[in-house]
Amino acid sequence: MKNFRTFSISLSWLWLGFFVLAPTLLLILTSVLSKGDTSLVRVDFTFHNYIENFNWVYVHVFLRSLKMAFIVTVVSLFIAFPFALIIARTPPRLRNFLLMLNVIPFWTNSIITTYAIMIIVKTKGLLNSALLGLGIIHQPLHILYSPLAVYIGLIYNLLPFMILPLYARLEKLDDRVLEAAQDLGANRWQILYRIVIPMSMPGIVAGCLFVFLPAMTLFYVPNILGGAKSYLLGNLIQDQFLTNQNWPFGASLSVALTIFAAALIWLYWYSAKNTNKDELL
Amino acid sequence: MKAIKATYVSLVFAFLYLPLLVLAIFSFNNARYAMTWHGFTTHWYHVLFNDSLLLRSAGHSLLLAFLAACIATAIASVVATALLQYRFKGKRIIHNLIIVLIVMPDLVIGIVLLILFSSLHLPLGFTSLLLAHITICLPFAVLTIYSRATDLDSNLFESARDLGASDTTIYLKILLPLLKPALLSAWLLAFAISLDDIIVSFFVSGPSFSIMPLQIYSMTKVGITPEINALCTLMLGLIFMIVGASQLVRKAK
Amino acid sequence: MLNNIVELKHISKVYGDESILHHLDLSIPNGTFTTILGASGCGKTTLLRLISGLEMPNHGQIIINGKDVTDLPPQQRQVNTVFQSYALFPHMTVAQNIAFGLQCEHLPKDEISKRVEEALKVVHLEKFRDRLPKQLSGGQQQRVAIARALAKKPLVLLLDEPLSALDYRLRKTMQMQLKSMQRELGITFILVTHDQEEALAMSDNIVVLDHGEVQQMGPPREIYEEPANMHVAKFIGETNVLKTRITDANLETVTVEIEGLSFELKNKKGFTKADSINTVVRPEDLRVWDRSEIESTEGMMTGKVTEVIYKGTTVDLQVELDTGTTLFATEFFDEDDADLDYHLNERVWVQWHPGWEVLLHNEEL
Repeated sequence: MKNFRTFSISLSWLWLGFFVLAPTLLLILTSVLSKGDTSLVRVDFTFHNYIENFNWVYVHVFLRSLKMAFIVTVVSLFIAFPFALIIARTPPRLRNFLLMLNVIPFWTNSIITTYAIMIIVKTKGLLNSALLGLGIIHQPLHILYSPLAVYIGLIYNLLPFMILPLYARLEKLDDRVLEAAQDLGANRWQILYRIVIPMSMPGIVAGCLFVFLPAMTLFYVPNILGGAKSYLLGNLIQDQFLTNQNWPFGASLSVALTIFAAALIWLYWYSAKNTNKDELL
Repeated sequence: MKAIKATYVSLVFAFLYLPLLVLAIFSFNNARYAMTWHGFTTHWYHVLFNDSLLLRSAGHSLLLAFLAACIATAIASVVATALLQYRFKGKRIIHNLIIVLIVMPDLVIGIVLLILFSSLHLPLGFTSLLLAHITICLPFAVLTIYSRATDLDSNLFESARDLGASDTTIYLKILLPLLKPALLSAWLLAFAISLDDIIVSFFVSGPSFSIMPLQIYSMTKVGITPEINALCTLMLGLIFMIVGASQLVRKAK
Repeated sequence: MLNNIVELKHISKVYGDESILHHLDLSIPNGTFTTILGASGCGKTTLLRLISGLEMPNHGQIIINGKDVTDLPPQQRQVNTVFQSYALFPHMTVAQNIAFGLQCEHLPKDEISKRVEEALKVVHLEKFRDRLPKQLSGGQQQRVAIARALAKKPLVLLLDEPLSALDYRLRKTMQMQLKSMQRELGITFILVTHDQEEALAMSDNIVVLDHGEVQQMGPPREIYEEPANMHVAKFIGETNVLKTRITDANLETVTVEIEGLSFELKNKKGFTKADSINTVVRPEDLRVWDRSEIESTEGMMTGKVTEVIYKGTTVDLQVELDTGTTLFATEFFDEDDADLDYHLNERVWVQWHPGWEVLLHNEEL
């Protein structure tokens, strides 16, 4: 390692070029090829795959994914915001402990938790047993394999991704600013609406992005918990690669999804361009 | 008001911890299917330790996460140094590729790497998984290290250079020692990301090297057995220990 | 031995489209304590970084000890820098910090420890060799930074606003220490500061830098008493700038009209009738009288006191002349005038010692 400068620059280029840039270009290339009969792809350039994206069947899947992702995001935000705010305002010792409690579900593989949710909401599962036992219901609820189960699974798995950016932002809120608002005669709600929410906007938007985008693509959650009615974009793309073996079409869907994600993130940056961009990620 | 706040926080935590708790409790339940309590047993742990497939997949996951975290942190420290210290052609591109990698949905990363590996005819297994995991951990590790490194006084590097230090000396003697805490957080984050990943692994893994989440995933389809509860409980215990230890490390500072 | 240890020839430095230094020429005499003085943003830190090699000029030549070092990296110039923030390595002890630069040269171990001891002695920190930087006071950290640079035995020590982070009293002490250190070592110190008082107190030689150009270079007294132009006059010390009209000029004298009064002054700079000039008078050169103290008001400006600031050994006055101009005057307590007693709106007469004024070309600043 005589010349560290050359070494470090080459390593950066090699890894990112080889594992990110080159394969992304390969993906784009694949998306304009045709499905092969014997091999995975046939070199026959076409935009057919992209045109196929606008087939009503697929647009329908996309719209359903959007709707589910939207609901998951809104519910997560409403659960997470007061939660993050309360934690950010607790005294430091307790706060660190509560934060640690937050990190554990975040660290737990979501297959484990999704599986646990499955056990709970099964027809003969814990939830039904408890509700029947308490006499609240007389017929077991059929939650598993319904969209509700998927909602629960997605919200559960993505909630930490909403809480953490919100918390990071709310923790930075300066007590003196709040005291100043109070001193100027603002009441609790005015402080919340006029000070706390606007000041934590970058955290809110970041949290929403961290929840919204994965919600469309976490294919294993609908696979385990949902039925046919919860077939989402992620499942569609996954199937092209693993079941239907239609890589070019799957690639075109992936490119479309990436463009959609990039557009959302660009909007986010554009709307927050006054803030420091490095701070946003 | 205080009571309302406490209740609210407890409810959210209950939501977050209920599934984990259920797993832990039922891993000791003396029944195969029933959801009611049939008495305490460690039977499922015995079953687990004889179920070499499930246990081995858990071992694989830990090994993979450990290696991926180590390698990703090492590479990230070098990449962050390059971004921080040097001016070079395409620096903006490197910066943007890191952002792209964070922003790109996991699903797309998995597919992109699948296409790469299959066009290289690299058999899917341990190597492909390790390369993929390093790649998904890398941007987070770079950002963690880079953002801490920018907090350092840039005069430190200039004065080192002024005193005659080479680039290698600055990296080894100034940057790495000063960034020890950042390297540790980057390692932990990378370890968590690797251990947490399902989607990318789903695309780039092969039958020769099974890892725990995919093993459980396939088992959820064919019917579940309570030794999964036992395994999940053990994993939870491990995570508790790691998170607790990292808290202690932080407190010791 | 060469006369000038550092020579900058026609140096230009541009950042993006902002020009920091343009065609700057500067020679720094060997063995002097030279201060580069200028307001923030005048390019003085850039100048220092060009000498150290941390920045490269866009144009021009840098010569150190007779050798062209323009393209050499910092480690190949016999020059070391003390940074404004000290830039001590926080994970190394004082001794390790000092040894760092020597280890980079791969000197033998006993040579390193000998030089570390020497450097510690120079800055009087022998007892602190095993402390970490954060266990030291600001002044001590400052001295470690100096020792670390000195251990490399540079020809020139560069100091970038080294005292700006210290409190007033410590700053005064460190000024004395730096000056005596420089005298003992005999090497050239180049210090950058925006604090004119500091520059006047420490230097053998002051370079006034403004708008990327050297405005004046010379010993402190010359800079203070004979500012070369309005830039220097305004930057060094408080000044009163009086609008001046030349009514007559010959080789010896100029006759000028200031605030409606006519004066005959020495024509040191060969002004002609066509020149537009200002008269610069330091506050301490102004005398402010009340009517009872003087016999004649001949050649005196009249006005009233609008502010009185008691400073201990002096009293600072703000006087508004009848013509509307505001003047600042500093009056010393001395035996002739033991109780300076001015009150607001008091009517006063103002004059200065003829010959203590400086006439300068009127420049748009």
